Amino acid sequence: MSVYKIRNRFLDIYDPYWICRILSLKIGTVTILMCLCNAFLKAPQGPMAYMLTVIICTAATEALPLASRSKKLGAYFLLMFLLSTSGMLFGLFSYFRVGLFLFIMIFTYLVMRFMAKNPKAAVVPSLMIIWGVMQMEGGGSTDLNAVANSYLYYAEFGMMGVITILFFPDFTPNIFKSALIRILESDMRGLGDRGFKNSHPAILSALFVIHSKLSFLPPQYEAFYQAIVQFQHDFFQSTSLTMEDQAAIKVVLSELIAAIDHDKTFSLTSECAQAIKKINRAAYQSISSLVDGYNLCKA
Amino acid sequence: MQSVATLTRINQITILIGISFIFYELTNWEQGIWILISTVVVAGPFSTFLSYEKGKDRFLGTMVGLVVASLIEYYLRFNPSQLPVVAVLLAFIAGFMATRPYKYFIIMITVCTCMGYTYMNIPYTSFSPMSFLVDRGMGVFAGVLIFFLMQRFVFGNGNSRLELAEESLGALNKLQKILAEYQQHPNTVTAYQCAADIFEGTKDLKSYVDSAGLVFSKDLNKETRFARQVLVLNKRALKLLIDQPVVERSQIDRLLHVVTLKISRQ
Repeated sequence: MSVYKIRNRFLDIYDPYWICRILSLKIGTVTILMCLCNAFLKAPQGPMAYMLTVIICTAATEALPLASRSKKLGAYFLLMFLLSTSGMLFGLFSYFRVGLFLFIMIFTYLVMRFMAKNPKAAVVPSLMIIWGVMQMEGGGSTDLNAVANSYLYYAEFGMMGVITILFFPDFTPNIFKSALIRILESDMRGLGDRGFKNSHPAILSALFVIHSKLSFLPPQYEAFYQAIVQFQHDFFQSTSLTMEDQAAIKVVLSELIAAIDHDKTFSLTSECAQAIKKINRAAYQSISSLVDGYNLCKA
Repeated sequence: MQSVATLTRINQITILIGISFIFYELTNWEQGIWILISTVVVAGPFSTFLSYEKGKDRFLGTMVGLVVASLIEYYLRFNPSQLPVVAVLLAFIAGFMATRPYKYFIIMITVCTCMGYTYMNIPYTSFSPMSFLVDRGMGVFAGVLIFFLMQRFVFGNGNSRLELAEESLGALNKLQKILAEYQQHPNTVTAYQCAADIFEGTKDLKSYVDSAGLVFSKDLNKETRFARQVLVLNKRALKLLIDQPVVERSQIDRLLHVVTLKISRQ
């Protein structure tokens, strides 16, 4: 059992769409690199500030919807600059207690006023304030020499984040396939249950995740997405499924899930698939178009 | 452009942070910075609704995180060379906690912040687990308390009501846009896409309505009633779009008409 397999019965409970796995691998990679970096550098203060900044910024490049590596690098540099500069500014004012009080109030108001267009966009300014506050309790850069030195250390530790972003593999297809597996699993559970609808939260969430990743994937995934939607639509409209049909469909869907999991092409040549072809032509057609869409992405 | 509720919230957050800073300066507690950190983190989600939930979770999560951190620090005191291994393990777990409920996420953040990786370069710093726990625990408690007191007795519920009304109206506008989009391209793929967008678009409003009891006590005000009506309309749209064999265009038209009327009345 490998964590790189799309399906993992332990991890799928916590991470149904592979998002946490990617974040975890990326943060883990950059931390290993920074531990190696720290072995050769003597940071002017505890390395926490540098390490946490790089970790947060690297994680943000995965969490934000950024299509290309250059856009990820752009966002990474911008975030690194904003967080490190916030820390420096709070450090510079930390000697003047009244001045620091006024500065905190003004800084908070300005970053919130100009960077938080709506509540959902308030994460970055909130992080900037927290980063600044963390620099107040000693250890911050209190003069311009120390600021310049700190920026250099941010740049050195930051290089580890750049290396991670440039060389980290693209796992977006895994998110797509993982969400598809969640849909197929829901379908298998819903077979024969008249109360199960397409508006089930598990299906809608998975469809949303699949669609949100389409712009980062090759064009054949667009056709695959359309095949998934058509399959889902046709599948739940077929009310005439007998117990025999349901059993055969469950077997075929679990075979398809196994093929997706092992990243192999799939063909409807098994006995159960042929049985569906004979007894329920409509169901066979909808599964067949889904399989075609999947194989197109494997080609 | 920022809405009235957002602008008011910015002023409230600025005042909250200012008061926490004064409290931190005047009390001069050991590790008093945690007062300020806690207030910023709790007020950080911006929305009053999410802040209330977050305040409770923050306190519980931080307490658990502090216990875990003191155990790890105690272990590292005798095995300082293993810090890089522990740091990498924590990083892997933190990645996994990123999309978990806030309570679990904050446990990891507290552990990472407390560890501070300071030991990496100076492993023999003095460490007393009880003061480590109590100092930070007091800071977090005071920070969360300042937030609750200010929110309940100074800021009041006015902005929360406005926020809920704005969120409801936003969700209704989004629904109108999605239904109009479906009318332009009425096919199966668009219907499913619209349904998924509606489902994701109402998640925030759902969490607001769930927290409304905590924010507004037990009284059902007109903003909460309106929010619930918006949720019902969204649910109806979901059913019309994907739960029937064929999408009835006339029903979609009728729903769009109702949504447009509701928007014009607000």
